Amino acid sequence: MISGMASNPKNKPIVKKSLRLLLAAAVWLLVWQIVYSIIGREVLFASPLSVFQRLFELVRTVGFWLKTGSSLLGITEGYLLGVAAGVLLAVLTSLSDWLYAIFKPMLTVIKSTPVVSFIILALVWMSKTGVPVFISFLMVLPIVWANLTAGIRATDKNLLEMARVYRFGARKTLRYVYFPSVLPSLLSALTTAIGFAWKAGIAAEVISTPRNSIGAQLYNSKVYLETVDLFAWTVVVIAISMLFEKLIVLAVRRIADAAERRHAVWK
Amino acid sequence: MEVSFQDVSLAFGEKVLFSHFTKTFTFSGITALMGPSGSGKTTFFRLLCGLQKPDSGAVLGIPKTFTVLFQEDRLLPWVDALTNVALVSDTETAKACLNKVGLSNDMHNFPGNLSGGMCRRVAIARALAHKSEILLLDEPLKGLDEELRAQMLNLIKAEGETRPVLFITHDEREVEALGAEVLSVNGMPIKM
Repeated sequence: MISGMASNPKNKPIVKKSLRLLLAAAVWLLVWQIVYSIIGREVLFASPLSVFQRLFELVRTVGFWLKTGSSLLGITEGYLLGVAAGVLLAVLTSLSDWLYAIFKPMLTVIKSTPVVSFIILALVWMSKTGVPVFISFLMVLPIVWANLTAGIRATDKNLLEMARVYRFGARKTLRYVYFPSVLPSLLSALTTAIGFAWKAGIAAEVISTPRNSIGAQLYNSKVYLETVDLFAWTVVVIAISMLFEKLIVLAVRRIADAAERRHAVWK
Repeated sequence: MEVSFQDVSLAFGEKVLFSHFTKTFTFSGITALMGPSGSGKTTFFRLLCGLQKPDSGAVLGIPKTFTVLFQEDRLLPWVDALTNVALVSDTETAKACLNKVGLSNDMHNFPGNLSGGMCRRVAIARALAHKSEILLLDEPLKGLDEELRAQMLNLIKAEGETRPVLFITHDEREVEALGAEVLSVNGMPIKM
């Protein structure tokens, strides 16, 4: 069985990719261990072994899942709201130069204002649990808007004119000209925005410390100098962010594939 | 079909293509539009079907439905040849038109996997499949070899019996083969 798999040329790239990933992980774990050995104090820099041991302890507690789930829910909510608003705004501002002129300064302000200013303001305006949602939303919105607007504006004018001549109508033009044109920009925006949503969302949690959240755990780790916990929770944030990114890419590809299959009925 | 240019003026920067141009054109059968490169043939096409607005004056009698085979193929790269054609008609018509242009074995290929000549034929099939009042062809046989040119000319000739066909060409042999009426574009601003 194993020898059969190895001889299958289709498996070779997967094996190679997995080996590369493992090697990269091993190299960085080694670097981590070396840095720890040089510093030599867990309170300043935790060792990989203690971090993974602590992580193993954490995942066996109900609290871990409650906190992780709560953060995941809040940040995902903000992310999805940001995506929806970004898409809506991109469509509207592409339809009208006036709307573009009105909204562009607002989005530039959001992009250039330090996130901590928004977090502090949000703490004044809303409940602790609402802050990470609002901050994630605010980080995602301009990224999705900017990428999608660029994608819409870059849509081939010749193809749009062809669609007009051949009387595609709004639905077909959207489905067959705009959607495939903006798909790469949309995908890039959705994946870039995940990182920003997580970073800003967790930062908002650290400052607002809502109950049952990863951010509050990070804050407590800092206050009580529990560096191992700080590292362990950071590993959790990175892992969820990576997983979330993969899920989003997969979801968008699925949507694109489903649309592709739908057009296969022509065949 | 009658299209009337009323005191039409159009310039692109310094280049004045139409200056107070007034003329009525009657199209039936096949009409060839001839003239040197850059003389404004494509712009005439675009004015004729309303894709280009004049700076002043008016074009009257613009057909409500028209088909344009552009100089570029303008195929959707993310769908196959059949879908490209079926999007403007129905599957059966699309298949029939792709058969006519000799692409029955390539209808499930995407434009990126087709040669330049094949893409041109998909664009021709799409133009044939799209029903409208007038067919406008901008250098339809560009990039095709002699044998394919002859086949496509036959298709255009047959199409000319069902609706007016106006096509841009530099090749007098094509005009002869189609028995087309010739409309010459000369000078700048244009005189016809």
